[in-house]
Amino acid sequence: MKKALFILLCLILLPLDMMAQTQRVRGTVTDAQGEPLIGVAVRVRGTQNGAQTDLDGHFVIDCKQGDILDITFIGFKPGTAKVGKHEVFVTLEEDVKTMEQVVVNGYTQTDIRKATGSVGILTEKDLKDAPLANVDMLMQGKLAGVNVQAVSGRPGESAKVRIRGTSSITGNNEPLWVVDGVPIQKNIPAMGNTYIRSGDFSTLYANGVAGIPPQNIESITVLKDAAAAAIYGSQAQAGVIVITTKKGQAGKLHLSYSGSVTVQTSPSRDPNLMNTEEKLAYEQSIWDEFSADGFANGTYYPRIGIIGQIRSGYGQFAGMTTAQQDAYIEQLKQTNTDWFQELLRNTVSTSHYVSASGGSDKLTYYVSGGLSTNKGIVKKSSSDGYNFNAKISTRPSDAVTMNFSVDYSYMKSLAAATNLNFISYSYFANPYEKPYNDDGSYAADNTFYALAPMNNQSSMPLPSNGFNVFREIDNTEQVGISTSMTIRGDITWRINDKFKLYGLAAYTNSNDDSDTEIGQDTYEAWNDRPFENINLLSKRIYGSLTQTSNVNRSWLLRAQANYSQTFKDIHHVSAVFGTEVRSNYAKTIYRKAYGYDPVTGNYSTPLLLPSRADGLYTEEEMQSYKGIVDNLSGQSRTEDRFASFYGAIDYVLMNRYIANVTARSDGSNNFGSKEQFNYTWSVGLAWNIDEERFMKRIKHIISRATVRLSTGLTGGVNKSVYPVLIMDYLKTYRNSDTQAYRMGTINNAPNPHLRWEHTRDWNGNIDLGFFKNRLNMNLSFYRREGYDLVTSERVVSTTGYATQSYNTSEQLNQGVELMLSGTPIKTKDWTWSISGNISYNQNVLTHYESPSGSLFGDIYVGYPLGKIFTGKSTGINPETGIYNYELRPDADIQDLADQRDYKNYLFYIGTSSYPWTGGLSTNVSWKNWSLSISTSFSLGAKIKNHIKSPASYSNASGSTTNYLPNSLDIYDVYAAHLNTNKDAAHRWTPDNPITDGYPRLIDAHGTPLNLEVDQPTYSSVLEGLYYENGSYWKIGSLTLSYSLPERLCRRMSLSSVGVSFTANNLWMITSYKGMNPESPGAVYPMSRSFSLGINLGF
Amino acid sequence: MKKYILSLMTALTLVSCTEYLDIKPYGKEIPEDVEDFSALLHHLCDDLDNGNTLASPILGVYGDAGSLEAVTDNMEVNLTESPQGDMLRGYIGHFAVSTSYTNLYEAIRTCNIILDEIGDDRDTREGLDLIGTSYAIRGVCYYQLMRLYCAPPLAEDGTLGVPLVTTFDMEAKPVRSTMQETIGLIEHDFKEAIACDIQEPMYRFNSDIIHGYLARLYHWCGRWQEARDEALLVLGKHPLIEGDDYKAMINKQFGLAGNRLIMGNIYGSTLTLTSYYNTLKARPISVRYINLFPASEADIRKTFFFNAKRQSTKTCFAGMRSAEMAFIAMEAAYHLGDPTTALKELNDFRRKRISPYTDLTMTTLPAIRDDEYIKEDCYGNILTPLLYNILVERRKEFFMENADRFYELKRNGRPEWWIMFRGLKYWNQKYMYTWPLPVADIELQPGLIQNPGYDEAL
Repeated sequence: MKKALFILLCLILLPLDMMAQTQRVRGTVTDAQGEPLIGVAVRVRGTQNGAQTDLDGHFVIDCKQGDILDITFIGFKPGTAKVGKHEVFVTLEEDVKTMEQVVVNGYTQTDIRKATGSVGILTEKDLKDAPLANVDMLMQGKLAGVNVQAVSGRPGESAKVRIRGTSSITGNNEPLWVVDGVPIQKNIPAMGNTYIRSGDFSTLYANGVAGIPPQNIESITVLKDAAAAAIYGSQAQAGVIVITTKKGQAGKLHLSYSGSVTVQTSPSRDPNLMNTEEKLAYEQSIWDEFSADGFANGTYYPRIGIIGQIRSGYGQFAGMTTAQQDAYIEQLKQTNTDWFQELLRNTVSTSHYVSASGGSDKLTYYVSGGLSTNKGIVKKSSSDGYNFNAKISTRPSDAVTMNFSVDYSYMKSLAAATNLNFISYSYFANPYEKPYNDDGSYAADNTFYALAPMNNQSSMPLPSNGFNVFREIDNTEQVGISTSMTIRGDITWRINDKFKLYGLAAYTNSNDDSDTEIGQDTYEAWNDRPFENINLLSKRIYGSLTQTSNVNRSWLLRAQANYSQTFKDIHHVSAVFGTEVRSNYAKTIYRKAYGYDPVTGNYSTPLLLPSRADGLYTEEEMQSYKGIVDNLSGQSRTEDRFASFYGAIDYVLMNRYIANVTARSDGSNNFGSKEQFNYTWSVGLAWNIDEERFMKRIKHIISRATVRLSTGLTGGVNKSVYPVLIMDYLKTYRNSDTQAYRMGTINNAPNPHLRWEHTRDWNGNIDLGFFKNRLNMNLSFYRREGYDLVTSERVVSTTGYATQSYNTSEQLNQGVELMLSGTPIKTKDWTWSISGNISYNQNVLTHYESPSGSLFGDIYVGYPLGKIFTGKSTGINPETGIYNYELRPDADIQDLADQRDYKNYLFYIGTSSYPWTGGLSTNVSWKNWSLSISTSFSLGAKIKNHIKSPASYSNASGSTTNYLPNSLDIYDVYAAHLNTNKDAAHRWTPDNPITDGYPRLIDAHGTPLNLEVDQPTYSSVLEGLYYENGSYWKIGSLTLSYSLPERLCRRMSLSSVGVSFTANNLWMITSYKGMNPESPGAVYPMSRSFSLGINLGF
Repeated sequence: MKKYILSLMTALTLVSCTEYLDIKPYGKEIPEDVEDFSALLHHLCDDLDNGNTLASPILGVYGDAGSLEAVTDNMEVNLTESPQGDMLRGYIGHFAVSTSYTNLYEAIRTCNIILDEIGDDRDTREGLDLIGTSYAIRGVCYYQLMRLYCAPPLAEDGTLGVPLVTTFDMEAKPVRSTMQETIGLIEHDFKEAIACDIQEPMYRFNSDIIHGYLARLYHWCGRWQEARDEALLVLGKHPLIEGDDYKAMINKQFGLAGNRLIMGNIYGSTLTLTSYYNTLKARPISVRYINLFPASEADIRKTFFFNAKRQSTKTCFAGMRSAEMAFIAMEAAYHLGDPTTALKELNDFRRKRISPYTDLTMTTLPAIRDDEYIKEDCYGNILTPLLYNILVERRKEFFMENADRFYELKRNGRPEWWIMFRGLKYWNQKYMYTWPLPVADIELQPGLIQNPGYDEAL
């Protein structure tokens, strides 16, 4: 490492211009239109002497008269020039076939014209939209068949990526990410400890691509089908995404800087929420309808909202007269808090990226560093990081090339550490509550968590200082730090022009640490008090510190032989055979300390409160105390190993007919398996029709035409099941007076017939280019049959298990993908290009064994995995005030039981995953100005528009007299305790039986209404109310950029200057009424952001 | 560097892949030896100790009082106070959906795995303890399955047993055995367990307890001489206690005491227990039960089993204590045609609870009360006053213990009656005393016969 850095440093510092001799020749390289070509490689034939063109297409090279110059540039046919006495002018002809597209699959590299599989390629210029986004989000909407969906707007959050649908029902569906040929292996072992909450344990950067700055990426190749991905074997079931990072180019030192400043704006409050006036009136109407009588008669009544507290004289309101109550309510009206505004903010974030590259023919280097600060729109949340990459390529001899690289990244996330969902809080918190008192102290929120204690639930008391959201934000903190270092080296040895040996070694060490501090006086600490034993009256609170540390060590070694030969000028054969081993070891350790003191960093663990009056512990209490202490620290480890053999043969006849065969065998340490090795393969054919003679005549119309057909088999291990009896040791022990005994359990029914999950895949692809490739079209069809998919099935109880996981299920993904791109206008000053893609994926479960053993499970066969079966509402019944549901036409209604039977109401209404996805991007440039818009769309899914209120009748004590499914808070009178939609006030009541507003409110603990006698009560039926069409079309980004004319640059001694303005998440067209159909529910919202960026070349 | 990498790679490719891949996940094990199997058994015993759901049907838990006992004629379902009593079930038919069947087979599976795989360590002390306990638990599980899922064997001819599984096999789909086969297996398991002479106290079972279970088994299936022999053997080692010792034993919430031999829920949370007792108080004790204690008798049990509000104040218990052996011996003597011994033993027992005590004689035996639900004995014969008094004494003694009244109702004629529960009328019918096999099993396993009365239940 040190040595490498030293070499690097020397290279940067030493003058590179060391080979001055003979004669200095100048030259210019242009394209057919006379435009200068930048970055063209110029090399003196037979020597190592090379140069690169600058912004004007000029180059300077030292050579002798009569030397031949080889001039090469991607996308152009190679040119030559003979050195004479004068300046050299070269015009390169565009190579319409290459289209700048090279398929890099991590093992081999092919021209796309020789590839038989289905791939999607993104280059550097496609990844410039959002300076703060992760690599995955930058891919959104840009490739057909690659569906990228944001999970939330939290800084650093990974997106959900699905390539051609869902591959496994119970296993992993994440595609494999590969960086420069090295698969990312990262594992975060599960903790399984009740004292460690999920929030104590940061998995924000767990997917491993988070540390790769988009500026460092040269290209992304997505391998979509078996023919493209089979070389990855068992890891490729869900597709492969190959990232190629930038390399140094020979030539003089090229320095560049890019930086950006981004303003993210907070989303505004849902305009449909009630304000204080409306909410108080709503609560009063509920008090009048549901509580007033009960309160007056001294019988049961619900207390809802602050009005419920005031009117019933609860707590601080005890003994108030009606006039005092009214006065207090009037005073409350002075407060009207916009909790969105309080909790969300506008932020400014920045990013910087510097790179230096250059080198000689013998040695090139690329060094870069980036820095970004990303402040989240939710208060206290941020994600900052920096990264450093260095890469050297050397050619010690003509036969050997070596690459060596080091990547380091550091990322830090910060957030308040609480179980409270701030988005949900800002939505539901009552507007009459306020964040601070007039004296600046935290004002207690008298309602948010008060529903249970104020309705006689003695087991859920509130702390004496009340609850305040800002106290939680200020006094809790989670810091997650993730660092990762990868060292990678490869070597290629050309034995002769036919054979070459290749070796690759890579090692990655990554650490994910998190510290969660819970301040002593927070509600979070109040809810986490295991030492209070059974003492409900205890007011003792203690803070805590939870530290988790996860280390991942993975390595990979690969040895590969390449062979390539052309016979009789028309037969070209190339083959590759190799083997690789890889391993991943992950360990997490955690420690939790109660009684933590943030000032000294020490802690004083509280003693358990004994239940006995004499202060002694019972046997049970001693055991429980020991249990708590034992569980405050621990570790969890996993280790995976793989060994694989692979090979691929390509045969190309006359550049027209291509055949390709790939095979791979993977062995893994899947425990106890006899089938340790799995085989995957693919066969592909391609026909470049445009090379045929009969096409020559229409070459001016159809400039490129390729048809590809392929099939293959990929498969994966489903790690959730084992073929043999495996005992898991429990994390707890059984204690006697003298000894602790290990305890074990056999959780999964072993299945000796268990096999790998497989996907068989057929793929057809037509690739066309028209009018010198000004218009391009790519159409793909695919059919992916998943079989041997593991799901659990019910087994007879006498086996000792209720279910067993087995290769029972089959599913089908089939679809069409269309990509169109064109450049309708291309003149000297104007260019307008447009590209779009659309893909349709149909997913069908073709065979399935129901885990419950009941017939009900079988109705899913023939429907997609994301199927939604629910009821169809026919509107509010004016008689009862509740929604009625449509009966199925085939329902056979004999009695009330049939009326209630949910099966008579279930309809298939669609799927929760979008069958149609795609994107549309366009770019207009005029002289030095350029405007690009990139959009993405997802169509045809049904998305639930419902954020469940945290307030519910289940918070209150008492028996349930009216059946109310928990998710149906639209009926729940207790849900009115927290803020809700304005329209809720316009509701059905016995006196005002309207049907155009909200349904009636029902008190689940109140007088029985017996509404459920002839109605379905199954929540899946009733929730049909909430589903909406989730189709959306989103303008992901809009970028306006300007590059400074060269003359001006030169005056500043710069080679290039570019300025850009980008707006992200600008606008969404959708009929969905919720916050965001892409990431529905109370999740961290996606924010609109505006960035100003600058690029400098030195 | 180059050479190093290349040679390393060559070396790695040559090394056997299976060996390279043969690493063991942490915290996982293919169980092979005594130590591994003891972890499985300790887990099972820990579940027993803590009364966890899985193990609760094996030994029972204190909560059975609130479920099974609360629906019997010891309690007054009609008078349940809402909402406190809403947790309690209403009638016997409410048990039609129960996980006991699955849970018991799950424990049987663990025992079978140990018995199948233990291999060479069979004869070591640790091995014997493991095997003995596995047999004991398996026997107890089948005993419980028989009592819950089979009709009482003496009342009907040709009643079915339960499917018998004696080895771990995921593919096996056994149908129901005959009652004799089921009884035979339970007996076999208990005898095997006794032969192992279990010594490890943490496994909770020992030979005395298993003799007690044998007594229970013979008592249930009417093998009276064997029942009496086994019961007297246990009673000899663990004699009855009385007075304050008795009171202390009954009042102890968690842990063994007095002549308690084994108990489910040996540990538990006082908090949960307190809240549980509060729930239980919402269902009053029936007058029929309270009337079993005549005002004229100074019965120690009257002082702490219930209060004036007809609420239970007795500590619930599930497990085994010697008193049950005394009743098994008494009833066995009666059925063996020795009423004199039976009466003598009944008087001996009552003397330990009632003080001062006057012996009952054949002529002074109280007559069968009109409100008694059990009108016939386990053979379907009309109760005699002596047997009635034995059953009454048993009912008094085992109030809130082992759901004893439920099994006694089942064993002796399965009486039918109705109750009002949440405004609806429910019939406790004869078939309901025998629970249905899970519907999923009936669907998955051709030839598995459902218990009568549940043909249409889905």
